[in-house]
Amino acid sequence: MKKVRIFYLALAAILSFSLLAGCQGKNTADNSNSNVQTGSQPGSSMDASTSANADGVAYPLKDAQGITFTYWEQLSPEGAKVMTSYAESDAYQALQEKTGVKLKFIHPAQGQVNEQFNIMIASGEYPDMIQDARLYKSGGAKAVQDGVYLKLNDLIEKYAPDYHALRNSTDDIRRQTIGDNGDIWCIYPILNRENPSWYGPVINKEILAKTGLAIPVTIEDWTKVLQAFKANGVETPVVFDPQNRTDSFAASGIDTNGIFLSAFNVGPGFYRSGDKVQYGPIQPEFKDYLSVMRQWYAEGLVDSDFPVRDINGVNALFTNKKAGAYLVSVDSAFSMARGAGFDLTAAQYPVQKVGDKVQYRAKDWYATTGEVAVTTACKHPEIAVEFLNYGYTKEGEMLFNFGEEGKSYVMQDGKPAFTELVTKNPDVPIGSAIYKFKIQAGPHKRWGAYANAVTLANPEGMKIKEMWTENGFDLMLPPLSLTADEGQKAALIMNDVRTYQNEAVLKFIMGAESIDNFDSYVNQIKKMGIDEATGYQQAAFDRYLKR
Amino acid sequence: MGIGKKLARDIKYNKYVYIIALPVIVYYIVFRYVPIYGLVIAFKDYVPSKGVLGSDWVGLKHFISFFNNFQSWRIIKNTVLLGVYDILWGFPVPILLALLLNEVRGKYYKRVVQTVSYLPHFISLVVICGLIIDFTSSDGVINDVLSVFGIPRSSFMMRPELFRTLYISSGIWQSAGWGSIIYLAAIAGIDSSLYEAAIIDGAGRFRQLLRITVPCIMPTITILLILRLGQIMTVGWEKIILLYNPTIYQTADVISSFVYRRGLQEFDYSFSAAVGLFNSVINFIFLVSANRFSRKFSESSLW
Repeated sequence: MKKVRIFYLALAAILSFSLLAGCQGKNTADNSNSNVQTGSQPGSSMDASTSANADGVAYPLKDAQGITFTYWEQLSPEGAKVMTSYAESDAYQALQEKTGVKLKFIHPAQGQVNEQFNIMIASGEYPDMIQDARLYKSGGAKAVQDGVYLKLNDLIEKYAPDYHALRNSTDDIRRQTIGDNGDIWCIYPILNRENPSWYGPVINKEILAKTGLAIPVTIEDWTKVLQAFKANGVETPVVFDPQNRTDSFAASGIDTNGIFLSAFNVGPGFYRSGDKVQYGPIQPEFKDYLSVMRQWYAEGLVDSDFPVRDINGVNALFTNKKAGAYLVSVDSAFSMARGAGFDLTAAQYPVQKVGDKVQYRAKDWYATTGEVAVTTACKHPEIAVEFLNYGYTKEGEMLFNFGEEGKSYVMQDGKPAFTELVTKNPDVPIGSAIYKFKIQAGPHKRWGAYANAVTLANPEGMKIKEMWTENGFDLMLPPLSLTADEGQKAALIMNDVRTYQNEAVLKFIMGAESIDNFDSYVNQIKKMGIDEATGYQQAAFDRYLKR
Repeated sequence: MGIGKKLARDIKYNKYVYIIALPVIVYYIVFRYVPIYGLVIAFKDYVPSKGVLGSDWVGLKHFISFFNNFQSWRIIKNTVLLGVYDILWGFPVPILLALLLNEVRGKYYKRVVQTVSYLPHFISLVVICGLIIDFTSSDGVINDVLSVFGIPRSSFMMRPELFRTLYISSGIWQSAGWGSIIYLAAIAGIDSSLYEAAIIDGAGRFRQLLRITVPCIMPTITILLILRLGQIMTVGWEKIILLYNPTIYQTADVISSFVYRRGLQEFDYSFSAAVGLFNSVINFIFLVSANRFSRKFSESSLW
């Protein structure tokens, strides 16, 4: 009997120990996640020439002496290959020197940005400035109400004249940089021109040449070309990028930017038809789209395993020439094609009839991500705002977009061009260089793709992007902000709708469900409250138009 | 004598034992009991900036919303079925493996088998799921074999009727070896004089196994079964979300994956806490009733 008892003691010990070990792992992981790095402090900048601009913010800021701001920003994975913190970035060091403001960076751990953002907010200890401030649940306007972010309206007018002027330069920009209730809760990076569309259908040139067909224009052409691919032994004529799991073709039967769907003149989710908001997957046109996809799937033109194939599997199909066309970002398509040694061409977004114009595409809005909020913990908000204004001055614009003149770029025929420090640096790959020698995100007047060394190095890809950018975007809703209450109710409805819809749409495409049941599918989604959710989007869109 | 006085005297006599136990007690209080108060967010609309205590009370709103959800019965059913099948098929396998290993007399052969069967336990779940998806895809190994026999190729992960089998069998493959350790330890603790006596009485190998080994490890089996029943509704979300896709939601979507979509992808903390609490209560009921049942019909129980 004694032996048995000892055995139980041991058993209990083992079990509780494994519990302990499991939990400890978790706790230590939580503690060591954020790494705080002190910005390297450039030598006294008192002797640097003080540049004053028209409205009077003079850099370096005289009042900034002795002030160090804490700055929360994600360290991009590409940047992390060459730096442990932006404190090591040449461009950020120059920024601190030029503005006279010292920054102490706080970087969330890679891949845990949302979690760590929420933990930071929950802890009640905010840094002075937060980049990607939209992460706040229910949006930045709510953060102002909750007393986390500062309302910046007056501060911007007074201390950020260059940003103020830029954000009032057009209606679009003005609407995109202010909340529904008139509060400005962050400073957005603003594009200086339309950023080219980066996503669309690319085609393996070799495979297309074998069929002798032209680049497809209409959906009908696409069917013919894909059938010809199949006849030429291409196993899965067209594949879709499954990267973004929730919106991808693999998960929802609609490709990420609705490229095939937009030929039918509907958007992949909520979209606008004039000033009216509608939900794409319940429109009658969506049934036509499903019929085409169903036919493609039945004929084997689409990968029969598409719901389960991951990004590596799909890329392998493309690089091994088992797929002829790929809906993907043009930059990754080129790097794959170069690696595999074949040439690429691209089709314009497909349409129904020759001469139609697509009104939905991959698009960046003028106010982009990388927005910065000043928190209530900041003791010198006026200096913080003056600092944030720098990226909108002529000098700051060049520093953010191209880095330091003579070092990372030179002027050629009045145009900036990156030097080999950025483009051919033996120690820093080009993808990382754009984070080290210039500032990719952050508050500034953004040149977008035209200041991205990686994109500029590929003029062929740039041409494709510019072709896709010719498409319209009349169906696209601008970035809207729902109120906390609306957001919560809409999320409840949409979570159910998306789950049901994804399941049903895949069944339609794969032939497991008769297409005649489309009406009952629409009714089911209506029963789940799609009209209510559309109403919230409509209300938000109306407020946007009134801004 | 009052309980306080008793305790004080006990501490005085056994103070070193208490000092040794202190870290464990502190650990349980800090990490296991204090966080329980966080469960109140299941009855509140939790907003991080307001904190747990400052958020507004909403009563049973989140529970009602869960049960009104069109998915709720499906995911409860899937969770229970996976849990039951896991115990039904997954629980006996390590016991069988341990009994078989015990009968193996070749020392090296036994060690090799043990090591090979432990190995999957150490492979990351992400890798395991990647393997499962690769093997079961329409151009994967399993289909390669089946196609030789003229069975048409199909991706198993897109066939809802196969999901439970794949989930349970891969789970057995991964954990059977590791799970057998505890039974091997129990077998090792059996008094060898019992076997000697049985041999003298003329019992063969099989009879020894049936009459001595199994009854002797029965208490261990019972305790582990009770503990296992306490986790019947705990179907790990990691494995599910790594494996599932919309085509097999109808059998693969479970409570924990639903909570993951709601709680972590949409930051609906309160709702997730409510569903999690519901899940835990069911587990608790299973644990307590299994224990009561066992106390009534056998000698071993947790308390």
